[in-house]
Amino acid sequence: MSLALEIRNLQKHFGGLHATRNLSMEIPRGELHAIIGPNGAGKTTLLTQLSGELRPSSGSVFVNGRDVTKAPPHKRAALGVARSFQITTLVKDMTVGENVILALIANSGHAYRFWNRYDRNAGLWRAASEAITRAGMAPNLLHRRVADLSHGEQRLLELAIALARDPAILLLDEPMAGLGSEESRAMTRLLGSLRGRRTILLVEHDMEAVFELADRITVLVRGEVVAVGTPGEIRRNEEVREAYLGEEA
Amino acid sequence: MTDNNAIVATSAERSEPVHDAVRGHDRDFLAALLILFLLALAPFILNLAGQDFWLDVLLRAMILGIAAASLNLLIGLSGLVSLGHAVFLGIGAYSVGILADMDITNGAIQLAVAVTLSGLYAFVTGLIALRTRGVHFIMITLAFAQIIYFIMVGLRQFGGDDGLTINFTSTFGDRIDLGQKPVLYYVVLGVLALVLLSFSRIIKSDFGLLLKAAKGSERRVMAIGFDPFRYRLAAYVAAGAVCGLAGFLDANFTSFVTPESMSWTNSAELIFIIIVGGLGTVSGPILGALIFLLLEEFLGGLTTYWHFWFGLFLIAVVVLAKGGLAGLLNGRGART
Ligand SMILES: Nc1ncnc2c1ncn2[C@@H]1O[C@H](COP(=O)(O)OP(=O)(O)O)[C@@H](O)[C@H]1O
Ligand SMILES: [Mg+2]
Repeated sequence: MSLALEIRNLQKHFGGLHATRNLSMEIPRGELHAIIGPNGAGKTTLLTQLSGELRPSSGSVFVNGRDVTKAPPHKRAALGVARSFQITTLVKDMTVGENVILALIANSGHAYRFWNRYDRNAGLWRAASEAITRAGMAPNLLHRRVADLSHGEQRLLELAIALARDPAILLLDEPMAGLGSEESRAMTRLLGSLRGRRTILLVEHDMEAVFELADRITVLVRGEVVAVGTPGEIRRNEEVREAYLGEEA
Repeated sequence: MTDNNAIVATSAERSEPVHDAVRGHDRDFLAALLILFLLALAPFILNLAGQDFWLDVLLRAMILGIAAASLNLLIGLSGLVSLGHAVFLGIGAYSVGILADMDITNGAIQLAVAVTLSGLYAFVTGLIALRTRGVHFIMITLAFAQIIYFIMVGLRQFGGDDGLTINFTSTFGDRIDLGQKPVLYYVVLGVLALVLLSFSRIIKSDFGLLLKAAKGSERRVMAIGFDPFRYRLAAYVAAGAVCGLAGFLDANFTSFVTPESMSWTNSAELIFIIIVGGLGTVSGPILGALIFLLLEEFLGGLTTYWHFWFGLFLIAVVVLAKGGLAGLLNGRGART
């Protein structure tokens, strides 16, 4: 079993707040691992430490066996880590296509090209069109400004961009938040289609989706892991039922 | 596809707008070409009309236009508001002045020194300033500029705050002497054309797309795998070098350089120019520079309080035309 992602004794303090408490996780390659837990449990904080935007107070993070604890986000991205954001960070005043093309340019390693014309590169636009289609967006959205997209479309675009980097590890922060039930089902199908081909860490509140998709689930409460297991095990776990799932499960 | 139709159904029903941004960019580009063309004809027309004085105004406008275009790369494209950009005009001009003082009038050497020093200064200060954003960036660029300003005020051997008179203009071989007005005019026009065309190219390049994206969402750019700092530094050095080149030209035009040319009010003037002309547009810097100098000439002739009226004009442009004059020309698509 080779680990795509390993987290050892991760701690994060925000002043007096202990947001990540001695957290360790092992995620084998190809696993779809869901992280659930109440609001404020520290799920986003964890993902942000994995993507490198936030330095842990202590502990370490390994990507494919390599210690990346001190690596900044762009270095981790180069190692195949991609993330989507809970609150979208798309470039609002650029078009859908331009947002995707940026990720495609990143695949080439750098953007020190001052004289090419990305807007006239038919191959690039075709690839961008394919990337959004793969994520379930209509190709005719390619030239629309991101600011003019619906919320659901923006969530899909987040995913399309992450996927365009062809990442080994996907960190998804509540991709279904704010989606309608139809849209959520479509997103679930999309994530299901990725299962096994990428290692996915999925933070999500939509329990229906989580229990359908996940190979394993980690339950996080107040920055601490309270349970890890298969969906069946988590469903049967009394502690989890009381602490978090309540009547939902 | 069918699986995911639900998500996109709402927007697929909306009609697809034609790509406004592309059209706006083309119109902006054509405006720049037209202005360059008119500037090329201007000496003949003004000569026929016996209005040679205006040639000097146009020359100044073109030099300011080059400086403004370089600042446009920072403010318009990268969202980096520098309040110390005029310092590069000074570095370029002092390079000419000090070298001429040492009897080195070889234009190639002067130009190399002007551009290299400007780029070097940009690199060193950029390493520090670009670690900050927003107000802090404004303050640091201003602080660095003030340091250079006071250094030049203090250097008595180069005229101190009286400035340095340049007795010899730059020469390139035996044939080209920038001291000859017509030669200088067309050299400046050529440089301006090169700078504007390069800018139009850069905003549609990978590099330009990245700067624009980093302005809109730094986290996104980093998550995708880019280090925005390096690209901003490259832009900062390029902008500094080009503005240094403008300073080199300015020294040959005025035959004089003072620390005043590097003052923060001069930097602010460059910001005025690109805002009035249109942030991030190709034609904006030269359009803004022309308007700025024409207003100065007209209003300055009518009243000594012309800055007051210019202020009102600036407010009107900012309120009524968010994309600047080039923005008006191009419709909303002109904004990059
Ligand atoms: N940058 C920060 N500074 C201070 N406190 C933070 C910061 N980010 C998150 N927190 C706090 O850490 C806790 C965990 O937040 P978060 O990771 O966003 O939770 P979740 O994503 O599980 O809802 C919350 O109490 C939140 O207020
Ligand atoms: Mg969260």
